[in-house]
Amino acid sequence: MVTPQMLKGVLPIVVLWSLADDDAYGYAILRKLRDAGFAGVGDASVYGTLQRHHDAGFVTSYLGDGGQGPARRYYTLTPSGRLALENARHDWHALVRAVSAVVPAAEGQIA
Amino acid sequence: MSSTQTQQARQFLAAVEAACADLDPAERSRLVGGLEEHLSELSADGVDLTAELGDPAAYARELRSAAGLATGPTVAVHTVVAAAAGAATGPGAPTGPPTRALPLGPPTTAMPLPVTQPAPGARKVLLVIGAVLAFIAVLVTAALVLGGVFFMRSSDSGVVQVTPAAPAPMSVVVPDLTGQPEAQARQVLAEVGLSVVVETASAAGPVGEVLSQDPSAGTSVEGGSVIRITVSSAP
Repeated sequence: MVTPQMLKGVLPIVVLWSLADDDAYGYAILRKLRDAGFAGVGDASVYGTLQRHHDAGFVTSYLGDGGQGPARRYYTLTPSGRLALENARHDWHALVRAVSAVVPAAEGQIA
Repeated sequence: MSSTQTQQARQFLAAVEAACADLDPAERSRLVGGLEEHLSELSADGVDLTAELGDPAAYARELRSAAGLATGPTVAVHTVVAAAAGAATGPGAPTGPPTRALPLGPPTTAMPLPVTQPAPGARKVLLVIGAVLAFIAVLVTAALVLGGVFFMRSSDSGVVQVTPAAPAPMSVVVPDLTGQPEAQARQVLAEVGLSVVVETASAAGPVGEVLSQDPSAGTSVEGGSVIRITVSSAP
């Protein structure tokens, strides 16, 4: 499982990533992350992360059609958010490579 | 939102605001200002607010932590929120300003406020520190993800195993995997954000080496696409 500590580390990147293709509103992002396997992610984490990205200028928001009920606040990546995502993507791959280099080869045989 | 939900949301908001009472007003307003709207969206989506949001004190901590703000003087916040939540859940609870519920003895200056309302410059520094900490946590996560990937590889009899890769919506050039050990091929694919399906075929030569792949190296595919690799098993 993804522990809260690990979740905290990846959430900023994952939230940006979840907006790469389509704008989304807070609860839709939460559901997307849970469906993806981050079962333990909480509403406050996603909402707080969105506010942080908003303060940093990585996302902006607008009121969009919510289908039924009130309008939903959709978040969209700004150019600077896309740049941040691109950088984060490089960091992520560098990290995966670094960790891969440390994982013992024998690990692959444990099953 | 039904009136019960509205009532629930209002009490919840008051308790969250109380738990953020030590924040700089501008900061607090940025953090919780849109929360009411957010809660009404949740209700409109049929979310059970009590079940989804849980304890307001815990929610506020999580919110502050995720927003990169100090999670505050823990003990004081606990006290504050317990009192506010108690007041809010009582029958006919007064809905006055949340600050009234704060039974804080010492003046607010006794709390480590400088941390919670940094100057713009200091805030950048905090963000950088946060980013570094986040990066360390990402390192740990990657270890787990990789562990999971390896773990999912049951022994040779399995013909098809799909390993979902990290979400990568951009297009990716398929790397050349032939001749590599399976584990290495998996790593390479995970790194570039591709999924993998492994098939085995008996062949002469070293066991566990990638014999062929589809699509072939150099093909441009969408991130997350499945690459089928055929790995040699014992003849």
